[in-house]
Amino acid sequence: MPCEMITLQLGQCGNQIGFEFWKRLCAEHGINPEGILEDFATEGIDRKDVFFYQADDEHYIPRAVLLDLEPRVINTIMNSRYSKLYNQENVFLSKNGGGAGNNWACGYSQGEKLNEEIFDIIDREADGSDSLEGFVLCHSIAGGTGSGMGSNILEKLSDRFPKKLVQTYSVFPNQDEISDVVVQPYNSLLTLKRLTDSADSVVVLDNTALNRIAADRLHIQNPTFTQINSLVSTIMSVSTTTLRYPSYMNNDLMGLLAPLIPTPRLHFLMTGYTPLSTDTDEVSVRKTTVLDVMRRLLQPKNMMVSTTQDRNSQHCFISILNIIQGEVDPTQVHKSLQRIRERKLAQFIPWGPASIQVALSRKSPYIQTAHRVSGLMLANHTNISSLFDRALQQYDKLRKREAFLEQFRKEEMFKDNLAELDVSREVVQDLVNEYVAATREDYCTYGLT
Amino acid sequence: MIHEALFYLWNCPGDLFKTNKKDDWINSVSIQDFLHPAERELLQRIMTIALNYHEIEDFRKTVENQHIFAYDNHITDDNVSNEIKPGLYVKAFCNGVDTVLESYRNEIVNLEDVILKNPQLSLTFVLSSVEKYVTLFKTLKQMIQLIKSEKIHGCPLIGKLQSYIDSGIDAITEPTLKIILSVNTVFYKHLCNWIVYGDLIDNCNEFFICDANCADENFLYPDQLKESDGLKKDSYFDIDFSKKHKVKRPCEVRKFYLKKDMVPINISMETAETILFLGQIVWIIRNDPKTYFDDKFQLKFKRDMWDGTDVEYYRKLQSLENVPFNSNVFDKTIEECRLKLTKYLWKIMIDEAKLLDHLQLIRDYYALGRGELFQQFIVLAEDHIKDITNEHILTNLNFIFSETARKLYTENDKSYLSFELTLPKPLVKSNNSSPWSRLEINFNVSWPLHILFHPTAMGFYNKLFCFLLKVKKTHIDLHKIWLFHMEGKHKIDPAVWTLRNNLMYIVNNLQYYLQVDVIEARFAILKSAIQDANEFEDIIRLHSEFLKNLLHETFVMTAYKDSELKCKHTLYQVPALKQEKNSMVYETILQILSVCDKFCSLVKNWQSDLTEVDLQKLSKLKTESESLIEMLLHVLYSLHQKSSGQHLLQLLHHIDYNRWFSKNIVNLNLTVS
Repeated sequence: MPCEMITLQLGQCGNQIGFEFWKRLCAEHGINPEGILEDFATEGIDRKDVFFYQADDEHYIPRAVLLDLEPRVINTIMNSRYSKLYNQENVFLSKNGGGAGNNWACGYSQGEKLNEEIFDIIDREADGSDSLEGFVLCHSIAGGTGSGMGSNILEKLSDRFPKKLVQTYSVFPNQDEISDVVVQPYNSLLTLKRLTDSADSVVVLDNTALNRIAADRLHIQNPTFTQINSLVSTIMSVSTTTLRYPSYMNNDLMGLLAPLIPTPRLHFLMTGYTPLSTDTDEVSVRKTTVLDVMRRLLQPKNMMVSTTQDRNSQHCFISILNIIQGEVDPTQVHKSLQRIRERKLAQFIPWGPASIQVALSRKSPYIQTAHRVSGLMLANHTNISSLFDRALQQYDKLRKREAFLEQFRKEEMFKDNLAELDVSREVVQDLVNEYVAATREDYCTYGLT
Repeated sequence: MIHEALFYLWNCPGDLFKTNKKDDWINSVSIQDFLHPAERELLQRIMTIALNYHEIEDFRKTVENQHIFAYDNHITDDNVSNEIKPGLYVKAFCNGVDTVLESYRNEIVNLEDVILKNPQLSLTFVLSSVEKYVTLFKTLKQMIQLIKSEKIHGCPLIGKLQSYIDSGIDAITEPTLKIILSVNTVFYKHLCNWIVYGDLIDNCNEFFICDANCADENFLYPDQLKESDGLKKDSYFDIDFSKKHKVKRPCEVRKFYLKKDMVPINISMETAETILFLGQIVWIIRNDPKTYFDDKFQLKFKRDMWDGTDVEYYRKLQSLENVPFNSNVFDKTIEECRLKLTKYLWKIMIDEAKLLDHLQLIRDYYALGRGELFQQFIVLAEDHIKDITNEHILTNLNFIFSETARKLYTENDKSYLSFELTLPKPLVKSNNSSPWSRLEINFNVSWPLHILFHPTAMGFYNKLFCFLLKVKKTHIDLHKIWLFHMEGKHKIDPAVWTLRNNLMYIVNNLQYYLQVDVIEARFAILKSAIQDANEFEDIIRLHSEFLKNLLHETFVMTAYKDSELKCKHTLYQVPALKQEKNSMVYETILQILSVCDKFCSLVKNWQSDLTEVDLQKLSKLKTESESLIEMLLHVLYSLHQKSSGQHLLQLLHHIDYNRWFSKNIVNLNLTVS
């Protein structure tokens, strides 16, 4: 079946958000935790085959590969109600089980060693699909496994499957709290290089913003992992909704990403979702119209990326795709777009045509929502560079003090020198520069000299 | 002598008054000799009355002796130039006349009695008794004269007679009424049979609705038209096309038409059209190809559009024949029948034929609502048809199409089976015409939706399909170039990616505009309107209106400015659309698409370093595209100013959302609106 996506979930964070994502997809498609289609869902004409395949016994099995270097999270998944959902052959746990110790280099080198075993699984999964469109990778950039092994897999994927798209859902660390991972800046920087060079599209899930949103918008003072992950799974499921509930446009990842990403490197996407509500709290439901939704999606406070405002540069949208779900009158969409255009609520690039693309998407009939209209924004905004800029600053601070580098020197890659860190810094700096250049009219000539 | 006069009045001339001509008997010598001039005058007046009666009776008898059933359809008017065409209406008229004359005849018999009893009664008495018939006879003679001179045949007679009712003279009104009622029996029999049963038993072609005895060409597809020429014209049940097509053509619709000159003047043309329409509906419902089976009685039955009240409606209509014609009452009764039928057909269309589901299918397939299917189809088919000879292309395409659909929808949805791709022969013979620009799709339209989705309508839908497929194909090709550019994250010449970006942006927005702003919006409007409607005609009208807007706003065709609908109740409505040779918007869009295609086919083969030739080609394409986009904006804007079509502005705003394209164009003041 056409346009299948294989999901790779890596490390603690990757497996956690992946788990939430699959729970959500099961609920939306009417598949029970054992992978059996519920009676009420047998008539559906949704496309389950993009993310699931059917085993010989009619069970729906996720096209998912679960990878980790330590057993904790995967064991939780395997002890949950959903244990029978996954193809057991696709669950890969490193035999030593010691994890990567939050060390990118450790994760990377273990990934290198386990490469063959991992790609046996991935190849088998790819062969099992009719015409694979690409991979979805879930991971965090700060830890060891998701970042380090994730980086390794990213590099290998683009080598082995050059024609397949690779999209990642990458969790960026929370800046508001002091991390117990001291080498986080190194990990982030090294991963960012791979995300820039080897991924086709990165959906940035910024823990800083997610926690702020939970606190400010949902009034949860100390949000739990589950609450944050539910936000993440919402974003993941809605951003794939046009693939699973296809209609006239944006039915494949290529069609979804091509208008968003004009140049290969500027492929880091921000997301926003509205209206937000928690399971327990349905009070904050307001009247939702298409215009409300589209306007709120443009407000920075609804963005799931914490950007800093830099008054000196004219940051702007390169492209926007709003996925709108619910009872939507197409004429309302145009009116809303008009209103936003007239009031100049969105600042666009000065070097080419840009607009708010809208995808009106069907949604699962099995999930009741209190909101008439809801919307997800996928945006390519130049200000995402501030996130990378911050990562650079933190890296520089740490690097200046030569702090914690001995952990890295233990690994093969850094044994002789730290050139890899320098190269990565250069790549990320280039990325920031390119984003800044994209705010200027002469971006079209950027990189020519 | 008085008796002779009576005989004459009775139309049984004796010896004395033999001749039938007025002048002849006056000149007869014997009478001249012994009659007093006053008596002669008296006699003369009596004889005039008698003569009129003779004339009427003559006419009546000729008509009565005509054989209706010997009536031959093929006798042309020239052959019977001197005679009245035999027909039921004239016969009925004569019967009416006969009844009217009855009182006159009684008068004569009475007169004889009286005279026998009182032999001294004079001619004056006779005259006084019969003189009251002068006006009547004159009128009757006028009527006959009218029938003869205007060769009135069939139901227009009713209208002609109606004017005599309005004379205001009792001596005329009453007998005319009698005559009309007599004619009415024939007329209402025709009318009732037509309206209630859709039957047209009209051997003499007297009714104002005529059976063409062939399928209505408005509901025939071109291939059917060809075949029906060779076939016996009477076979109006669906012809088996299975040999040629998987998709079955809908069953035929018998052609009935209105003979405008036959409509009685007292029935308005609108009512006449309604009457035609009613019978057509009944005919269609009665010729439902499906047979229904009653489980309880193990009986096959036909559907009943009157829900068992057909007799009731028949009686109601027929009862009108006993009263003088009142157009209000008449129209009201017709309207009652219409409401009954039209609601019934509406119900069938919505509940049984699932019109809304059909519309969704049209949206899904003709309007490419199922983007995933056509996307996959285009991608797969493109690889396959590259090296296949023309004859096999279609078979292959259909195979790929149904395979793709089968894979996508598995067992859950088999709607694709009612669709089939076709490849009409190109109008202009050219060797390199890509099948992509000609591909059409056929749809198994089920009864009775074939009235709505008639060949012309499906032709319009196919025009749209063709265009949308072209846009989709170009869109996909541009996406492929994007993917090619993404590979390996190499540096690409900015001139290449900016052009790709701009072209993709235009096509993306064009596609969005077509799919959402026009198609999705128009379908939403149509669906809710159909749900609010409760008459079949509303559906026809709404659909026709919908098609017009759909094709107009997608620029595929141009709608006429003054597209007021002439008649409310017609079976066949064609949206007022025309294909303009040089529809600027459409042409410009096509040209932009062709620039995109050129761009894609070039870029595919380019290496990362461009040669001098590549750069030249690129800059040519760039200039070309820029001027085309500028032209598109100009055309949209100036057309909008001329005709203020909101949709033009909609597309304009999509393309120029961040005012990028208009920035460099002077004279294009888009900020105003």
